[in-house]
Amino acid sequence: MRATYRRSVLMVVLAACVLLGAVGTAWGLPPDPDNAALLYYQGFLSLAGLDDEARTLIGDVALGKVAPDDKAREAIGQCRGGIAFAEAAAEVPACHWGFQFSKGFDALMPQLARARFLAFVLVADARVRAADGDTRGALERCLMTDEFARHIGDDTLISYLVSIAVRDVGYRCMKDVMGQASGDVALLEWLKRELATTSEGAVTPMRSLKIEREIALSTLRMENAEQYAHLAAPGDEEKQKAILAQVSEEMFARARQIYSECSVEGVDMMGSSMPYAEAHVRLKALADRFDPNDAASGASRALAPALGSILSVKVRSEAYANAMHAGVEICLQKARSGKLPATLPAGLPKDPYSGEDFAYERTGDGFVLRCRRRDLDKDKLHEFAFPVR
Amino acid sequence: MSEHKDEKRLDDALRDAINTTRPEFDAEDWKRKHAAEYQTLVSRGEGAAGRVAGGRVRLVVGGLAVAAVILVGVSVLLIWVPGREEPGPVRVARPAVVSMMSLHVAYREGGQEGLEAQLDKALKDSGPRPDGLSMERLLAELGS
Repeated sequence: MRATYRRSVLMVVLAACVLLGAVGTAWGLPPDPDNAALLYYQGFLSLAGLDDEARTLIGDVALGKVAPDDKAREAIGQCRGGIAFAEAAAEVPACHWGFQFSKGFDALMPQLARARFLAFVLVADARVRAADGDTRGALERCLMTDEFARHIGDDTLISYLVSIAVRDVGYRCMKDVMGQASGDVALLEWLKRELATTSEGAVTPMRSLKIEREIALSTLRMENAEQYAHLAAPGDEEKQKAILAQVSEEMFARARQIYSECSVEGVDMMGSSMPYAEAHVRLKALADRFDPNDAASGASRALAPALGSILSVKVRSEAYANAMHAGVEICLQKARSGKLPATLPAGLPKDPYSGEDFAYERTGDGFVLRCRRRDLDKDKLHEFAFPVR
Repeated sequence: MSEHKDEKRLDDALRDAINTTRPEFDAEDWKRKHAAEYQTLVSRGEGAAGRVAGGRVRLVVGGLAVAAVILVGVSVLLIWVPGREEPGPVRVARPAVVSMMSLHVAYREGGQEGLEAQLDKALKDSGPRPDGLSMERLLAELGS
């Protein structure tokens, strides 16, 4: 009994030593970055110096235009460093890119071009995994791209547009791959939960439009007349010089007032629950209020974003997200029942263009979800085809 | 009164002594008698007069020239300050490819496709980036 007691004490002492050693080591190391942008920047630096052909190939694979071949796999392999940093960044909630708002339209955004390419690398890697039969790995990459899109964020309108484009590339791949899991209920339920989580943090254009308004108002001033001239007459130096010769603080003051009124009204409209078609028509009418014969009105118009187009981007992104949720649910029904449902199941996310259910149709190799109202900027009915095995 | 008488008496005496009357110069007669000398005198007089007139003109012109030089000099001093560039034509710098302005213009002119083309151009223009360098490789290179 004494020996047993002594053995127990020894075990406790040893365990305490190991624990203290581990904690001591942990206390000695500084923490990893709590800003995802710092990891992404390192990822950009770690991307291989690929030539145009390799970059184009990666982009085509990511978009599903071509199947990944050996060349594509080699090019993607050279970007492992960038992928690793993106994986680490996906685990960090906050992402602050350090954008210099004070520089207004002159601010540089070199990270966006690289972010877009890194997204292509991630999704191309997802396609490679899917081709190799690793469906879960491919879907994890697609979900990581969704997180990356959220991180790209909405600091500026351009950031928002790139964020949406990155998210759509990931969704396109996810749509093409999820049908491979049509017999795996657990995997599809996991995907459904993950999609529900990521959709909670989806970016919208509202914040970026408000920031855009502040930047535009600061540009419509004499001290920033050159910036304004560039935006009003891009690439036309003679016209820019003529503009600079005519501007005045009085004109800019009136332009700021006009811009502010239109911007506030437009952003409120975009944030409302107004149906897409009605909102689009009214936003276009807002743009038509600018008087081309009035210098101040023309100056406002030169800086005003095309709100009708931005609305279409917003709604198109919502349509894609809703189609993904609906598509997962349909694939789950197929996995549970062994066949695709004859009609669209009830209670699924709706087509934001019309406010109604998507039009559902079974095809030879899967199913299609179609929007019921046209995208008024693209003048087309969007549809989402899901190949299902 | 006595002084006046004395002066008159002196004049009379002097007259008698030098035998002169009030002099009267006959210019015409002198011209006839001294024609050559007269011509010489006349020609000298004309040159001198011309020289005097030309000199007066030159004096005026010179004065004007000096005034003009002074005026120009003062004007230059008033306008020109050492080290300050002369105002030239208005030059408008081109925005960078990756500036928010360039991306805005690309989107406005070409929509999403235009924006993505601009981003592709930016990626291409920025050139290749170095390959990832591991700590091991870095230490190996430093040690060699």
